[in-house]
Amino acid sequence: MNKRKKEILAGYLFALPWIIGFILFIAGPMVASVFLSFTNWNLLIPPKWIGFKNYYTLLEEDELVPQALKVTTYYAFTSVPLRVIIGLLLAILLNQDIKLRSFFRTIYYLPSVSSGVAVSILWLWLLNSEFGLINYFLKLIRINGPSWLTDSRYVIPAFVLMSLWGVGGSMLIYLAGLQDIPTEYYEVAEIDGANSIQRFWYIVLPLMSPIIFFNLVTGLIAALQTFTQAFIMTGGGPYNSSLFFVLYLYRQAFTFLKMGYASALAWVLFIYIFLLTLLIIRSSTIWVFYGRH
Amino acid sequence: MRRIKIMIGVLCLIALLNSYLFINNFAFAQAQKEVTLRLIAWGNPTEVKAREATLKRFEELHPNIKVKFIHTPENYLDKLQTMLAAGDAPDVIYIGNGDYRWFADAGQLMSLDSFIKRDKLNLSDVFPMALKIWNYNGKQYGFPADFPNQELFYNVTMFKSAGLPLPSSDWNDSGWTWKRFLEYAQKLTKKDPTGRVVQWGYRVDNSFRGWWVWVSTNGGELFSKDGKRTLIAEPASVGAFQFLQDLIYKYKIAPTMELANTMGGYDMFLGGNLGMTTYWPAIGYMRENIKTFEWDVMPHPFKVRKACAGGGSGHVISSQTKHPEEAWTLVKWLISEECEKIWTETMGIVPPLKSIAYSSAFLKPDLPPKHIMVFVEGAKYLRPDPPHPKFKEVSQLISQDLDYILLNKAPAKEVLKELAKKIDKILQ
Repeated sequence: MNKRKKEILAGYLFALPWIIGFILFIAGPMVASVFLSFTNWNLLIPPKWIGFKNYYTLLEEDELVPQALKVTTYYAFTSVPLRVIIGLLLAILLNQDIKLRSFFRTIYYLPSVSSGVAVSILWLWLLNSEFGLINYFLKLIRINGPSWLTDSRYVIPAFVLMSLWGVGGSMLIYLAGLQDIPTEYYEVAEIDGANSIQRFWYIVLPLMSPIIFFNLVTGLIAALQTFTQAFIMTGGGPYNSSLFFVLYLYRQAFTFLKMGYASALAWVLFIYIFLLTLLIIRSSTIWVFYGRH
Repeated sequence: MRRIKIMIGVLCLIALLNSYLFINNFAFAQAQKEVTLRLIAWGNPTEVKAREATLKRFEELHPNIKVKFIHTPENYLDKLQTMLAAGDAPDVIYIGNGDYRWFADAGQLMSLDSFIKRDKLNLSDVFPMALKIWNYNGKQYGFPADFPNQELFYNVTMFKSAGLPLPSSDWNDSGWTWKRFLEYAQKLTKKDPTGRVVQWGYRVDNSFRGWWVWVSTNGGELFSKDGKRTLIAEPASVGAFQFLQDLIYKYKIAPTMELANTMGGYDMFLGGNLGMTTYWPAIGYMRENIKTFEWDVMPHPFKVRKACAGGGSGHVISSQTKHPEEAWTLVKWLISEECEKIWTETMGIVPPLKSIAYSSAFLKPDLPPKHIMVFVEGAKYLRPDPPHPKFKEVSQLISQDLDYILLNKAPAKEVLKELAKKIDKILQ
């Protein structure tokens, strides 16, 4: 065995734990769920092959599927761009030479290490229309706050608001990106007379675009799979106006024990996420700038 | 010298290993004789206390059986179903009387008949109706843990200060109607000078039994006689749901669902902000937690016929159990007079045994509620969860859409019409 072959073998050996885990816990169940999506299975009796019936019901008959897609898309398309913008602005702010910088960085990052359930329960109280802090502050500036979680018009905005609180995770990635920009660029721009807005527009934004792209894609995928908040805080209500797709999938799988149908739902969501991601990746050739290559 | 030290060391090691193996084997032999059962149940803190007390006594009586109590206060059926599906079934299952038939149909429950016959178990002390609830397709699948009906608890202190006459708490009182209930509720609802309601007449409960009692007292049904379609969109049911919506939005005597949940849901009555509440007899819990006012109980008001919801929950055995004999021993103990007595004294449940229902263990003449007999007499009017094999699915479907009515999105009639279509699809 020559050296190169040895190295390849070592590489695979090191990756083996992951490969085994992937096959056992991800690829295997995925293949199984393709099969199950063509069956009627309530977990307790063996699955029964029913062909495309699940997909037919899903696309033609089940009125809650379009509703769940609508809710999920609405949330993702509001929350993700806002998170990108606010995360980036926050990162620029905390990249300045300000007092207590690391303290603020910690504070902003903290929410993203808290568990989803605890955060949900916390926000249940914050968003409460009668006793909640948010409506209390709104009242101080003479605004009558809505009943966030029981008004179908406000429940998704409430979840978007909540998602912005957890922006620290992407902020950290932006921060790393910002520190990667060579200071010479700024100096050159300054000598040429560029003001701060021009510097942001012509230096920061292009050089950060790969990172924005990364955050956009991962953020979108995560947002389309939102579950915990809705499960804990609204249960999909009021009148299904916060029925996120994965919550609906959970309901079909574990409340109604329709595992076959739930598998079909999962694949529809997978294809939807795949298409949206593909769209972003295709568009990236126009707006993402890989300066150093 | 060094060699000797090493030898001693090795010998010590061998001795240690031997004794370890010996102890291990011995302990293993002991463990084989001992069986650990798993019991799954929900329950409030008082209920948990009562359960632990009864299980402790059971373990004393049966030293070879240990019981592991899996307390699951939320998402109970989801968890239970998943455990059963995963082949990780608890041996003994506590379950609502409307839900068990679905599991029996799925082949997940063990019939108790052969055990009852073999042990010649005398069940004559159990209220016949309570026992019958647990009989499905001619097989006895379980025993009742309690035999409650949900009645109307009321705050006596609040009634007095509103100048209302105290209700008779008599099932034969034909004047205790929806109309009178509404009058009382309106008088019990109070606002502060800013117009904010500080005291409510009633709380609308969005659980199944919470609305089933209103549908029942209005003469409504959930399923047709042949069980092939739902009657939820018929006028009698619609009237009941509309009344509940009106209590919140038209008469404004009940808080909105959001406010009620924030104010503690079921516990709102305990906080003294509520004049009347439909509640299952968690009497022990109430005795423990109500300190600031007097309270009592009366039958649920009626419009077309007298009725009450409930029927309670019971214990069944999983067909997956590896220890049917021990599980049976536990289930048999849970319906015994001794166990029911502990259960009744701590919990204040309505016992399924006649001997206890008429004893001081239940009646406790010196403790509230004064008219506790309302529950025993109410058994006659009980309309348990409809014994339809698809009840579980149907009630889950309804609870998904109940929001539309209880949050005032649309009139009850419209919502129920759409809902009935979905239910009929399941039933056909």
